[in-house]
Amino acid sequence: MHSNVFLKTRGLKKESYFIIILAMLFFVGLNPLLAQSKPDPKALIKQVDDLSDFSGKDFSAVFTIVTQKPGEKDSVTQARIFRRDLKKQFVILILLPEVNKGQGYLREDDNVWFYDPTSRKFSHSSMKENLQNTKAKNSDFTLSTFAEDYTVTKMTDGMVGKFPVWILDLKAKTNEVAYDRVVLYIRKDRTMLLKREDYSVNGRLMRTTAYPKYVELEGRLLPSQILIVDEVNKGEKSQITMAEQSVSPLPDRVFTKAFLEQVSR
Amino acid sequence: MAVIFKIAFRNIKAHRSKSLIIGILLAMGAMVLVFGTAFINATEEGVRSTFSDVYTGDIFISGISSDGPVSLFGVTSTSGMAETPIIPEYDKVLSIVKSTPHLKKTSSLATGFSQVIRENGDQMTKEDSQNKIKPQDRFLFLFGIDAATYWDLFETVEIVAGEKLKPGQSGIMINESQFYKFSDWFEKPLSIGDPLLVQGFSTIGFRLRELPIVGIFRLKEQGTAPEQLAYIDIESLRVMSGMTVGANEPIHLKPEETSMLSIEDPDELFSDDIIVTSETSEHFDVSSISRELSKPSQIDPLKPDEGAWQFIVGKADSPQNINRIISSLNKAFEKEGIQAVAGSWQAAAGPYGQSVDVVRLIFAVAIIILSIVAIIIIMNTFVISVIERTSEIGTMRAIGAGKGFVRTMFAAEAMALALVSASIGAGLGLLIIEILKSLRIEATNPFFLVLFGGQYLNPIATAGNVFFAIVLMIAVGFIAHLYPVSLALKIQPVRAMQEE
Repeated sequence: MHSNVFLKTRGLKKESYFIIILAMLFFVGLNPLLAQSKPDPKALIKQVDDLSDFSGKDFSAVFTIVTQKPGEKDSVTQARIFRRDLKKQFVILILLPEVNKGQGYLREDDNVWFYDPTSRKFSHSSMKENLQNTKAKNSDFTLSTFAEDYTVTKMTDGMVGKFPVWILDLKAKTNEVAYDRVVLYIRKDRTMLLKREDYSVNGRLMRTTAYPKYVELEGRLLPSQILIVDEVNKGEKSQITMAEQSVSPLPDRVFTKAFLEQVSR
Repeated sequence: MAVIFKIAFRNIKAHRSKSLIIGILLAMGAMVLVFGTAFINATEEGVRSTFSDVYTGDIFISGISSDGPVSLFGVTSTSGMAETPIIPEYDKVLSIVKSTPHLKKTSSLATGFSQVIRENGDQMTKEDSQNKIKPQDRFLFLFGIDAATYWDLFETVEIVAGEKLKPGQSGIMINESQFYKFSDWFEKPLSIGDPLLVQGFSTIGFRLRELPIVGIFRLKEQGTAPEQLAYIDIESLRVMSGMTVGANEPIHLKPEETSMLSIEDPDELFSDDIIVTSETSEHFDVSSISRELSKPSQIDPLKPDEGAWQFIVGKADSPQNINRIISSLNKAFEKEGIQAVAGSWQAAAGPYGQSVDVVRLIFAVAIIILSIVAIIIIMNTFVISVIERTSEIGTMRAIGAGKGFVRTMFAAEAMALALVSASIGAGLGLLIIEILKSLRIEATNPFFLVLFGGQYLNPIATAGNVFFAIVLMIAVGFIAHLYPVSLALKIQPVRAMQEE
């Protein structure tokens, strides 16, 4: 009796081994197909970077940033941004509020300069700094370089609103970036960044940024409305609205200190 | 009663050695208390007068912030940088201040943070931070002052080179040690009149100003204020801190530019299709930017708001009147419905005053612990001394003395001994204080400077403190004898007489 049961179980075991091996072979065979449906994360973030890369062209637009803080009047900053992505150059020129009009930021090689027309002096700034009193960083207005600055540590999928997304967990390669860890929510059916979460070195969620509206310009996709939510100071947020976008060529002198000095003279 | 005291003094004499031991302990207790409280007084008064003389004054008036307490160093807020409020209805506040009795002198000011930038705008290098200057040394805490009244209020600022800011003059005065650090960092010796490029931070953004070095100063009481303290003219401070006319100009926005701000969860934004509009590039002409920027502005960013002040500091005619002035000012502000508040030097010094207060508190606690230990030793000795006299108590009871009489007799003995010893001890305490005063012990570092409350150790004994020490020692004597006496009285007189 006992031996019979033993034999039966052994027989079952043999069968189950067979099924498992068969299943494994099936999945191994299927693997290339699966791999095809799940994109390469590195290539995906490169695609996100390339979406708004105007290399070979110049780009300029006006950004209006409205910042809300509890118990305070909304503050408004309007700036014209000039970009020459091929050389990683950019200029941010403050148009509003009037008291800060003519102030500017310039990226020259690896340096970021801040210019104040009231004293006609430059001081050193960085990509990591906030633009004026807004929740936006200087780096939010430049060409995104996720593929260059970060490595993907995890890739899962999920939903943002009604859109299925790839969720990519990114870890910074350098300390030149504003945030050590970034989580990107990239739309599956058409590659575009819908949301990003920025974390500090100790893992605290610092801000959440949503990109709910895009504009197509010369085959490139640019977020035209952005919402930045400060997760540390509850209730503080900034809305960025882009207008007057253009890819007309800009004179070389735009990307110089002299331009900032002359333009607000 | 006279009989009781007669017996008490006779007993003290009869038990000379025990009385001497207890007497010495009580005297020492009184001495420690007199000296300790005099030391605490000195620290308290010294710290107050030091801060008051150097930069806080006795009375501090500021606006009210919902983010936290306001001090000369801004708003202590958990959420980071909060705007320091401007005194509302300044003219009204000033007239209240001027009409307040006992408020001798006042001056208005505003403060702000800034950092010094090298002329070529370079960032600090690693080598700089290792050898010449630490990042925090580049920061300046700016006191934007009204030179016409400020120096009259704070005379103790010592000028090492150059001069004090004059009314109407634009420039900066920096601390001697900062001056040398900057010279090292700039790799050129700085001198009076040289421009210093200063970047001010405020809630409206950055502002760069080039200010000539007018003077180099040394605070008479180093350690009371941060080294980074620098004095500048109020107009420059106002420009750098964004206290300019029209800083809050109205800007008209389109509805779509604020439509997302009311949304709580960013994911809500993705319920509809993402709008992708195709735009053709417009022609953009750079020269239009210059035209736009050169449009005559209604707002001059350099025109400071003449009426904007953040604080008023003042000095009382006498330290005794400080609290009276503060409460009278606060009542007046409340009556007029003005959102301003008056406080003491501690409110003005803010976090800086608190850290000093902590040091002082630790020292006060140490003295209190020492006193408690002394009291326990005294009590213990008392207990032993009374228990040793159990047979004497038994004999007294046997020959007809009631329990009440024995208790009163011992109480009188303990209190008489305590009164005499504590008075001697208090006298010795006063003598030590006088000796220490005459020795003029100097504070050698900032820690002692704060602890001494000034350059020299100068304990202040008051009649109240001496009285307190004597009364406390009498109380100690009284309480200490109660327990052993009641123990001795519980024993049968016959058995008590047999105890040795």
